[in-house]
Amino acid sequence: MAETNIGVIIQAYQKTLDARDSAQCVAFFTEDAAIHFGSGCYSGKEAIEEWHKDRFGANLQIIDYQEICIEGNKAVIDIVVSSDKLKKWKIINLPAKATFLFEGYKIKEARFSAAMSSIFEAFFAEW
Amino acid sequence: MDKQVNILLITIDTLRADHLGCYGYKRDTSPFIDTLASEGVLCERMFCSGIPTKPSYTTLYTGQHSLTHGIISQNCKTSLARNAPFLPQLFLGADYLTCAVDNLMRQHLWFGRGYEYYIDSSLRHSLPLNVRCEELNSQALLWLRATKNTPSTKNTPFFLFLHYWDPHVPYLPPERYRHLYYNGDRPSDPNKHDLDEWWQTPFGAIAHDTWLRTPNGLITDPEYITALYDQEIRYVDEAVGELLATIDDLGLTDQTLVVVLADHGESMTEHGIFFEHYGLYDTTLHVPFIVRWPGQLPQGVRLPQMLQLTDVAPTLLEAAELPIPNTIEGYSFWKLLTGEKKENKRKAVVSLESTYQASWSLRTDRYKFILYRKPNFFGNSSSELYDLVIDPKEEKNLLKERPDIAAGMEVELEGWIADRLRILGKEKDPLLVDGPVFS
Repeated sequence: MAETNIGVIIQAYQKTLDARDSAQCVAFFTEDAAIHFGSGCYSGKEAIEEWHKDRFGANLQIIDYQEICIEGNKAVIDIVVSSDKLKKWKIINLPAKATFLFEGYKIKEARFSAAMSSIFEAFFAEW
Repeated sequence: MDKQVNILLITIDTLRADHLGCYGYKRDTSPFIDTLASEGVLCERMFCSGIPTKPSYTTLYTGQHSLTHGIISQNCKTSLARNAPFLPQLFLGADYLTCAVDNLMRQHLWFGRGYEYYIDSSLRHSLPLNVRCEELNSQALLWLRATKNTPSTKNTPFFLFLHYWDPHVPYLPPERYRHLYYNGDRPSDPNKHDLDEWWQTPFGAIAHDTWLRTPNGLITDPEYITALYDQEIRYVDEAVGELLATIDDLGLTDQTLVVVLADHGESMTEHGIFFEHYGLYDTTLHVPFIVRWPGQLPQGVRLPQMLQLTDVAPTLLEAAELPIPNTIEGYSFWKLLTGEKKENKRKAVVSLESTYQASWSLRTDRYKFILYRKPNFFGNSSSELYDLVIDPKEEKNLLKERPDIAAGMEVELEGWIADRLRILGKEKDPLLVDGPVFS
């Protein structure tokens, strides 16, 4: 798939995220897709829909998108997020990295990981 | 002593004493540490004076109580005083080679004081505490071999500090350990609700959304999580074994004092505290302390005396025949270890926490009294009193049954705090000023 198409699909996924439409979000993923969230794994459409519902329930907001970096079937985006769960940790904004692997026009694997310095602070709060 | 002793200080973060075989655990989590204990001295009652990690390590290094060094919590704004005693600095001053394989310095520079070599294996990880023991070992062993194979350093004594993180959450042992200890058949049973309460806490919510999510679903069985914790211990135990084998291979065993200890323990589910380290109960305060030095210390001895982490720094200094600065508050128990003395100076242990809770505890041989400065995590501010002899799990609060003992211990504890504050020139109990970190 052309890199421009991956960019377009990701933009569409971003809009669906912003619209809080979990069913539509799941439609972007392959049947056997997995989301890796921190060190957890949400595998299959049902789990992926649950992941989206949980994020929306926690009022996850992507408050900043950096430029998408696409290489082959892989796309990486630096983002900044906020959520009610993060606020419990007294973290207002969390820089993070989203990595997508595509299979055709669908997302086969998505990885969301916090940027080091910020999650570092978060976890150190309870060491 | 013909030759200066090497110090190998091994700390295992979040390791509660009673999950080691040598402390009576039912599972075979620690064959190498158990062997070490059989070759040296095991202290049965070593307790933290401050939790969690940052206050506790600062105490380990300074020999001072948290109230004195001022580092009472993870988010504490206080910096360690420039003139505070600091163990690696003291060894460096005695011409030791000093090396830490750790990452605490990424939080605060004082954790690097006195180290000529500071090796941080966690830089490749998004979370520093995800660094694995085998990564630390690879760096530590590289340093050890290089040091001992270099003509200019091979005869120089070393102070080597390793800080393993594996038993800290998230409990993610390598796959090869995952078959151990769990006897259930369905760790992700959606009909199991034992952890629902935990999911409502900040740490529980993170676990729920991240490391307890598997391709087979959300882990719901606390026994499975406890097994993961034990697997982490087994994993780190093997790393300790590898390290000690290398010390042996290098011919250093007889001139190396090896210590294994922890900064604090971990509650599994006790007291309604799930897989975290807050609360001044023994699940979190009771830590292992095992020391070996062939030819200098007896083998297979167990010391029943009550000790606290403030006592470690002066003990290591005395072992190395170095002067103990008078700013160190702990008591050296070196002569207890060697068997030269039987009586211990320490008659009580005072501990504090500023975590989700702001609380103090006073422990005597028989009782523990816990005093909350603010309502605790569960919204209660009532004190707690436990008879440690008949109720070692601290399950029955005797506050109402024994108000006389509770009142006496409260007076003693408040007196200790007031005395310390006066000596330190501080006006108020920092727990009253700062309260809990999370509220």
